[in-house]
Amino acid sequence: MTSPILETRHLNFSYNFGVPILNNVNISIMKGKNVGLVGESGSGKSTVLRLLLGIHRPTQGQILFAGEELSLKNREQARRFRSQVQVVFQDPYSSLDPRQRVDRLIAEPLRSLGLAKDANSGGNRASISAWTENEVVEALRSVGLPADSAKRYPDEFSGGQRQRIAIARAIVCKPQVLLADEPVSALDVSTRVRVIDLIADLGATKGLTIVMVSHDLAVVAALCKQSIVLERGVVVEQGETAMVLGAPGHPYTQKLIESLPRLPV
Amino acid sequence: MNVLEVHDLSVETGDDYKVVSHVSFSVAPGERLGLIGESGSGKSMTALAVMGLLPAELKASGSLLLSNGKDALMQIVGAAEKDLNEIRGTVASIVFQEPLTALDPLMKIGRQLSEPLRRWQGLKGEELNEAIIAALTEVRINKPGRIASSYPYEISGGERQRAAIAMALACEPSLLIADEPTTALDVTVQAEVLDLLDAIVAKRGMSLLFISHDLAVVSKITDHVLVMKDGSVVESGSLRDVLRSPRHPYTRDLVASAKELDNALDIAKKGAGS
Repeated sequence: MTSPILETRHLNFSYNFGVPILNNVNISIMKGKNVGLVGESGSGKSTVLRLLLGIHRPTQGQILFAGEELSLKNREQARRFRSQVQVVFQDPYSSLDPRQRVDRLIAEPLRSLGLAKDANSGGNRASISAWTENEVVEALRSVGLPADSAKRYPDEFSGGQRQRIAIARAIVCKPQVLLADEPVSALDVSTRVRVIDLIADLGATKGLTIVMVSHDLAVVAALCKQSIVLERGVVVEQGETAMVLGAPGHPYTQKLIESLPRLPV
Repeated sequence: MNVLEVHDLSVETGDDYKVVSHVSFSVAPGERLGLIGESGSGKSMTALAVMGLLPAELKASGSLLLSNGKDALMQIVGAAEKDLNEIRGTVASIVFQEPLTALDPLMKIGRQLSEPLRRWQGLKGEELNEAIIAALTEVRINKPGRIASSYPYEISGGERQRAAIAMALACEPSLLIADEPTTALDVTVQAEVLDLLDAIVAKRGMSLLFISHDLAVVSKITDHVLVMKDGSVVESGSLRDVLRSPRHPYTRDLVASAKELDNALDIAKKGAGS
């Protein structure tokens, strides 16, 4: 049996010994199986994602990365972890530094992980090597943006295009897992559908496993085979998305599904 | 007589850029109209223009006539602030997307709600308190007493939006404008607030202009829509027709996207997904 890429065991979390935010959360992310973390505001879904990213440390319990406990003090593991697990956030207007050109933004993971194959990679602005440039253009192409986007600044792009840039930055180091926190919530409906298609496509062609936080069951249904429903820090239901949607066992899941606004037939 | 008649409305910036361009529509007494569009379509600017609330750097032209359904048509375009204050709340009223910015953060909910009640109905003392509790009860707030004595930050997003709706309804307007009133809310709360709006508007026989980017949400509240893009109305008609046979390329794209997301739920449910 293959072990999960990411796993949480008896995860508990609270800020500064305050009210518990997460209570005994056990989830595992298997390679190739996209997972949707579903819940409303205050459910703890984004906190789970932040813990999986190593931004917060659990108050109790463990996070396992490729079978070993995640400890970002272990620099060798931290580097491996960062190159394998990347993230896209909700708001493409705040997640891209407005003062950096797109090529530099996208090359950032290559620089910080020391993957850029040139001597003065951490150096000055002009020193993007041909290899790096090539990787950036390749990443841009994967997200459906033209190569000349590289020389422009984030404010020249629409919300949907910016989210594509954020995705390009996340995949440039060829990670195994993409953690996405409400990646399409800030986008218009037609743009939203296109970005969902892009993420689905990247998952299928690049061997990426997607872990997505969303309040929107339709987006989860479109992207994730597995769903985990959180309510006030507790996992109330998890399983195949088909089961969660088709035969929800927990009253809260049932209420969520009943509340979904649907188009008239 | 129509409650709202918009004729050839344009809204321009100082450098002659039109954010709303030659828009015409009307809302009859008791009618509900959905205004649909994505970001930048001009739907919110249209709503602000109706209330005479456009930012100072934007200028409206054309005609915007408001009435209580019986008489006293008032031209909003070019009206003086003093006259606009007479009709705001009493003839037309608006609920915004984000209740946290719509409410005064330094004033308890009860006090905010008391202002329109006092001004319009001339209530005070015990009568005023009773009217506040009644108004909060009407918007289905469970513990009206507690909410009345709370500040906006002390209550939930759903409670805040209900309180904002109560304020908008306090002077019994003929027309309620709701600009993405449920977009900032959780999906379960959204369902409750849509239910609430539907019931109150029906009970009071009010007209409703409901602004949203979400076709499914609009379908819960009205069956007649206008679709806007880049400041212009590109399509109008019954929601059913727009969903079945959208004519404008933009509407086709919008409807296809909404259907794709809606279908994703059914496909996943059947387990037929990849």
